[in-house]
Amino acid sequence: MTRLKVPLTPQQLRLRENQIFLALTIVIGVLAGLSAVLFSLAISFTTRAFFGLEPSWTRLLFIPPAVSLVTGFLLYRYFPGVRGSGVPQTEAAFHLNGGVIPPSVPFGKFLTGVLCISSGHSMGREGPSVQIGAGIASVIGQWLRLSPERVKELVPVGAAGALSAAFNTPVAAVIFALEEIIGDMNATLLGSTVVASVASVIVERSLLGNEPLFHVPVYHLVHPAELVAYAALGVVGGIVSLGFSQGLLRLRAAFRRLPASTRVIQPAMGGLAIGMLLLVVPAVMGVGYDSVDQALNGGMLAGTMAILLSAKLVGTMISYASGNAGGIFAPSLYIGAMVGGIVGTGVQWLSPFPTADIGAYALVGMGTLFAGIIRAPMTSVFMIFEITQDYEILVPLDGGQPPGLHDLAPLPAHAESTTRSCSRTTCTCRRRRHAARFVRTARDLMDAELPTVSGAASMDEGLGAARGSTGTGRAGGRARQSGRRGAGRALEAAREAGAWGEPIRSSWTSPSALAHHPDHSLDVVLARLADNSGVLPIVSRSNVRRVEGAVTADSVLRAVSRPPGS
Amino acid sequence: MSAPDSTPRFIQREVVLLAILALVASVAFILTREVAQRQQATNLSDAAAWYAIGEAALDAGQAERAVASLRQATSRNRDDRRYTLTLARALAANGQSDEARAVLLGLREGGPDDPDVNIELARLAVRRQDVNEALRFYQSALYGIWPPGREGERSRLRVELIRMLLQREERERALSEVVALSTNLPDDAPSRIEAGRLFLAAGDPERALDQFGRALQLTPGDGDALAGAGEAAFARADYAAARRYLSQAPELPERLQDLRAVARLVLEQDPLEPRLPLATRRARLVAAVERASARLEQCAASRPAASASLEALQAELTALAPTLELRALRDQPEQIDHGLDVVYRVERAAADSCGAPTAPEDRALLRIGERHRGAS
Repeated sequence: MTRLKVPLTPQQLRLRENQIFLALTIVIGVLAGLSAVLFSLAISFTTRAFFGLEPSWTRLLFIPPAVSLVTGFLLYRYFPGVRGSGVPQTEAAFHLNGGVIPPSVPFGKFLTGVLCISSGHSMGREGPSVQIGAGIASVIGQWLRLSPERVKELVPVGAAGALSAAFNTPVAAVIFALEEIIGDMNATLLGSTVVASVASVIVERSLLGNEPLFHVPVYHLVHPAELVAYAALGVVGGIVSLGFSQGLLRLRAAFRRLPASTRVIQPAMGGLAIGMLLLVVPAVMGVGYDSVDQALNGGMLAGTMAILLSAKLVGTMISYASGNAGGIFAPSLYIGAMVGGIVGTGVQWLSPFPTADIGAYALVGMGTLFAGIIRAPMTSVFMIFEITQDYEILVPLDGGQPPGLHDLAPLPAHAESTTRSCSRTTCTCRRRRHAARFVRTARDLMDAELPTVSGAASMDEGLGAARGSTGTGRAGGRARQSGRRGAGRALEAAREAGAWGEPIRSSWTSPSALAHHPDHSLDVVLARLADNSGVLPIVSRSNVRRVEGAVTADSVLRAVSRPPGS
Repeated sequence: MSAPDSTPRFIQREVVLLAILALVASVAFILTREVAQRQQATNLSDAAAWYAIGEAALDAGQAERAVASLRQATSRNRDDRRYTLTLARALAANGQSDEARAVLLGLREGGPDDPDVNIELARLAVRRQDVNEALRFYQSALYGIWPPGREGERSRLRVELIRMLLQREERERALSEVVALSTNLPDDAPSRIEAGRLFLAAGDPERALDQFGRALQLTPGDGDALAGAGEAAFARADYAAARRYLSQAPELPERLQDLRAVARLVLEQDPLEPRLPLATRRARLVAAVERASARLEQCAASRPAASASLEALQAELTALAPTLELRALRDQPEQIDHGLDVVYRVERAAADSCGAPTAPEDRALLRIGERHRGAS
């Protein structure tokens, strides 16, 4: 007796697809966690190999430029998309490239990241881990031939998994994926990122043990008036964040102004500067968490912290701006700990009331600078909370958030990637994300000034009108141009259908009988736009015969690209 | 994903690919674990090397270098409490007491009964002059969990605590610790001598004499025990025993030689010494009055401001003269006690006004006076 094969219904298929996606999420979480752990281990091994137990001055001076010559060549010749931290590239991949990341990216990031960070550059390992994890997720999605939508969804999943293992902070990693990569705290990917993050952190802890990133003392708010001190720390942190971001951008611009022929050796130029810096202040080498740990436990004098702060600021700017591969999460935590420690020392000197230990200020300073430089306030709060496992820290952390000073900066420092193209894409997707929060209705998306053609006119006349209309000014010109393109495409399609010479009315058939109004939401407009040949006429609610404008793909992109509130 | 008609094959393909991925993940996990273990081994070996460098630097008095090296050791191996403890010692030696304390308190959270951590914390508290905290940590150390074979260290620690208390004039607290110490001491002469000295310093010459006596039983003729016993006997005003012990001791420091001289003078000049003929008593009293008078004059000359009260005493001394005749003493033997009392008050007043006497004769007179004041 033969068994009949019954095809799955669409609902069953969707269910199976969801199950497979869930399983895939777990596997990606595991692989992202493994990649982050392996990345960290590789950095430790290579650092030991480069510098030995107690590095001599010759090693400190010559290894950074020598290794940077190699990485400079690799970055220039083979992996141009992996400079910098990797977070902006990941955002760009998610928002602009449909989540597609080439296999060379995670591989190249791993290789160059290990070489850069372990050769002494003042950079972090967490940002690169994010790009590696996201890259692995995307490559797997492509390999499995998942739908573009699913491939895109895997990018934040891999990023969350990698960051979870890199920081040993699973909740903060999820928040980071939502806040930073997706740019939407209400994203439907919450479940997937949580699963990947948990899978990843389980892997990380089973390999390295449940060792916290920092050993921090128990925190207590000693006196309520201390909240004022934490607010002051927020202001100082905001100023330092702003200075760091501006300094980094200007130094990067200076490197860019150098002749193009020097691009391959720019990382080595940065390496030489770092080598000289290491001779004076070896504590700024690499990730630098030992110094952070020391500051958190009150083991540093204010003078020492001031020296380390200055050296770290300069070192990170040089390493990053010269085009090396490495992140700024760790440097921002380092800088924050030093700023917090210095402010805490000042508060202890000046305060008429009893205060918390300097380590507590260093801890809050870490959160402040992380929020100020990375511009991820929620991630920063949750990360510090997870590191300390202490609810009491939440109040001063909120008090210590930079009070809007970072908004003065043109971009968060890490968003400004090391290549011009990446800088643009990152800028674009950031603006788009911000703008998406303000664009609400069709009125915000539509072009109001459009050439209109009578329905009785022929196709030929219509196309001529669409092509011939002129605008005034740059904005008006862009709007008309877009309208022309939209109308033109529709008319060209009609011509291809053999309707050339017929009245427009005879060929222009909307697939939907629905009217589209200016108050329709973004979601509705986008859904209907896809069903309307790329042009959605917007008509008045009071008079459906009056066309108020048209939404096209171009007008949507333009609206989303506009700065928020403009 | 795919059209429904090709669903079974498509789904099977995805499941197979997922299984392959899971296999790859498993292999990657095993490889990464291998790498992690190697890294861990390297870290441990580096930490040990840094620890050795740091310890050597600390022994050589290079505290700053020791701190730097031990930081490297502790950052590579956070689990070895020895590294952290030595780092705390180096920090303390480098003058970074607050940080050393923070490190030690962190260690203490993981092991409140660790004697080594508590000892270091106690020593830091001593540096900060915080006797209560020092006492708390010393007690925690003493009653903590000591590894086998370190009982001797526990006793040495208690001695350290007693000395700390004695330095800060906390004699009662010190005495209770010495009592506790003496119950757990090994029964050998050095330990008993040590306990005896501590009893003596804590103001309990009775128990001190017991300890020295036991030491002499264990090692007859031991010079330190004889010296200690002599001092203890002197402290409890048993001058005969004091002179006996101190005379038997082969070598005495200057301080104890002085004690021996005073003890001899007390015995030789005390008019109330038993079984003395009256003439001897009188002679001793007369000598004492003359000595006191000379001391009074000397003191009045050096301190004119105090001369009024001293003059009154001088008048008392002068008034004594008729009562010191042999006949008068025979009729009124209690005049010897009176005379001795006046002598004592003169010596006392001179000591209060002009400082403690340095001459053994004057010190002996004070002792003689004190010896009989309780009885009179």
